[in-house]
Amino acid sequence: MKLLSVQDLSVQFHDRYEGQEAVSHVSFEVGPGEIVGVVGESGSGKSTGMHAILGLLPKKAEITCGSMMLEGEDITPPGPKGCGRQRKEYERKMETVRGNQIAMVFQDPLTYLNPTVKIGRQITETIRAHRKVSHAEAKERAVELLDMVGIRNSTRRMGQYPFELSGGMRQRVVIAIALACEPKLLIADEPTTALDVTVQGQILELLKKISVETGTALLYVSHDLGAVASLCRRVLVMQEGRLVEEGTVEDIFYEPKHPYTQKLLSQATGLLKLPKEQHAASILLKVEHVSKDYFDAGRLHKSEKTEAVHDVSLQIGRGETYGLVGESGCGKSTLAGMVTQMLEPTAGKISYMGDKTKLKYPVQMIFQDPYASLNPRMCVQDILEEPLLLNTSDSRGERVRKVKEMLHLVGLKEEDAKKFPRAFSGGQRQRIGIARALILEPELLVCDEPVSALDVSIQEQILCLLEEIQEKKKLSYFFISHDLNVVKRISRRMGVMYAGSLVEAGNTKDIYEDPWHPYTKALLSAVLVPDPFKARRKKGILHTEEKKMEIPLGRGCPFAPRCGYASDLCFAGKPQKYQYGEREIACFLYSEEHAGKRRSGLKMTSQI
Amino acid sequence: MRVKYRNKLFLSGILLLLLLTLLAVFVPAFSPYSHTGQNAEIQNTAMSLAHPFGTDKFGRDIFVRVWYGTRISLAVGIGSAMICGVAGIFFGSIAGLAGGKTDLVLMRAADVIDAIPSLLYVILITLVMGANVGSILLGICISGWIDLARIVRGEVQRLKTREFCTAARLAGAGAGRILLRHLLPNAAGPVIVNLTFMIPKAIFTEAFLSFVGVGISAPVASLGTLIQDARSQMQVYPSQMLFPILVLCILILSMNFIGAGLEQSVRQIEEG
Repeated sequence: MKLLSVQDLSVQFHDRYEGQEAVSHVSFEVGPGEIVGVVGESGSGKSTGMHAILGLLPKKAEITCGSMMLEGEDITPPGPKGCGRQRKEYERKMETVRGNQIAMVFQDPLTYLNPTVKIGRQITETIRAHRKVSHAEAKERAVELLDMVGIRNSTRRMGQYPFELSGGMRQRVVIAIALACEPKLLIADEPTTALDVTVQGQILELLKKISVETGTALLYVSHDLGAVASLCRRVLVMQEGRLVEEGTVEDIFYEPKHPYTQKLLSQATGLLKLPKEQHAASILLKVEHVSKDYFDAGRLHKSEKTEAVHDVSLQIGRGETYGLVGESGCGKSTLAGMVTQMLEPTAGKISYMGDKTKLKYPVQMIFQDPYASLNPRMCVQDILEEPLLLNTSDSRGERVRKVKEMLHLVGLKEEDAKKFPRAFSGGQRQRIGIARALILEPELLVCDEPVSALDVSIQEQILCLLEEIQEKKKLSYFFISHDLNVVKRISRRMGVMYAGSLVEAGNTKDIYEDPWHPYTKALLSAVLVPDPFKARRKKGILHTEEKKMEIPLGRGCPFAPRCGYASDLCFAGKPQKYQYGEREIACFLYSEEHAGKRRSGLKMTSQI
Repeated sequence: MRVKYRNKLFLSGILLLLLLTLLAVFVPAFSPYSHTGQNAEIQNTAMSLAHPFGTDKFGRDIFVRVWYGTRISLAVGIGSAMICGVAGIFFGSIAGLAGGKTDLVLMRAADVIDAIPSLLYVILITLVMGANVGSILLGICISGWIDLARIVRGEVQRLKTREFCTAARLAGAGAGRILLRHLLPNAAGPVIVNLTFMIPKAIFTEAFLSFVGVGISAPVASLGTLIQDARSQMQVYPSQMLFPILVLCILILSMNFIGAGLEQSVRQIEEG
């Protein structure tokens, strides 16, 4: 007996051409308690298919479906020719199915939760909408649910608003709401994409635990093969609306048959290789003890200080790529802003050794969001010409020639110069962004998460392009990312940032092979490898519940509350930087007090 | 601003407005009668071929007077929209771009100006400068730009943190260039829509003021004064009041159509 069986599902939007369906002839089944992964790039129709099952698509979508059965009950949506009464009947039926039997978890918990309602109320309301229970009973159930999704102190949390919780906590609350009526099937649409890596691991484990404990089947939609490998039993691969391959996790990952699956896998593992050796001849950028504070106007004259970046020092050589890793909100972007001179450091000094006379801002930048970084009302020619107009005295012909050359370099066509940004896909837009940053021929380029908004296959293309350009133009990159795989792929030296401080720095290879700092180790163990066997063996994920950092300012190691190795020392004072060869580390485990007085010749190894 | 011409609201609004504008320009220019010329022999005549809308109690041709009044209405509407537009965009973009204390001071000053009812401004100005188009325009504009300034300020604040502005700053663009090339074109949608809705508001205000008697004074015709003139004999000759009201309605309606049509297409463009 299958829980859900979908036969021949197709979805078409009217604004598309005939035959170009968002989902076309997809059939699959989900057994009770089974965890099924749905994999594909963006635009492959994963989400559209899932929404069609729940009947959540807008009216303009034309759904045709052979049959859709949920535990023997027919939930086939009426076809495009279905009359109003059929549609109404279907709507009424789906109202009882949604939430009760099938529940959904969306990508962004912040937009899903109502920001003005306390989370306790949001959970109890869901329960009371589907079941006839009293307030007290609903509350009891809500506490139970919050416990189940791993939120401690659940009675206190129920009185809090969504903005008071961290991203992972919010997603846990969303899962709790989804589980409120004990659904038989949970559809999770990219539930961890908006979260940090360490939190991602926790949420995946939670989903797995819930599925095992309550027997809920899970349809897990993701573009991340690593997450699918560690969670799912069976995998569906989708490409351009079609289901191209289906099989157990082992089949898909070890013996992929369809060329598209093979391509996806090779891309995912391609990120795991290391970059070529780079030789930094001389120092190009020196960041010395830089800090940046923000002041909020607090209550009555007492302004509150927030330290976004605290005492960071690093060096970038000519022709080198320096990678910087950290979770969201750790101060990476603030540091990038200071390097490009957009922001003024509160303390410390940034010295740029390159040619400072040619440009007003000698360090150029590639931005994270290719959709927000290009002015939608300017054509590509104007976008690329603007820096030339402002910094050089080139003639019009000269500018046009340079734009053409640059478009060619980043792999776009000359005709593209006349088009507006909306005509391009995310990857192409990012290429335009790269062209704009390069057209002034800077020596150092800050890349602020340049690939995190792109699909894996496009990521690889952009990274290759960056490497190619680096070789041609002898550029240096300051590469910022939250994705360890990407940083590992492109940089030879790297730093790990946590809560505004650089906690570990050194050769990328060394850090990956042997992390010294507890935080680096936690980050590394949270990286999901697209290999189900390895992923299942992996158990080192940081188990402590994430907390808001509640350490008084300027005292103690910022990581101490989350650290499994923390001692009293860690809460009393901030660790200094300890240097061992090329490795720099800020952790008391490597201090003289902890490790004892060492002979100068002693080789330091990981203490954890 | 690319407007989809499939948009029926916008298209019908434009056609109506074009028709009214042509009539307002050409009827007073080519008619054998003038809008002030009185003729005691043809008082209060009904509609005829010579006088399509009839004549009033002084024997003036209502057809000419109505279209002359439309001229004034259009001038007040478009003139005030232009003045308010320039002032609002200028003020709003400075406040939005500068932020901090400048923003605070500028916007509170705007609040103070806005707090005084605009009717009071008009009455005071007409007292000093006389009842003519200029003083009405000034009276409407003195606080009319504030709504637009608030909208522009909001849009500028929203857009200036976007990455393309940071990119322009990195390329070395100054505040003026960022404002003109990057911020304002992207804020154009709501600004244009707001401006088009400002025109009918101004036309209505002018007609209302003239009707109440603080606006344009006799013998110059405005749609408001025409309605006021006809009021005394409304029960005897209702058609004298009907025509100016009809034209005023169509004028305001056409402007509202254009505004609603623009709003629709702006939304369409933004939604992609």
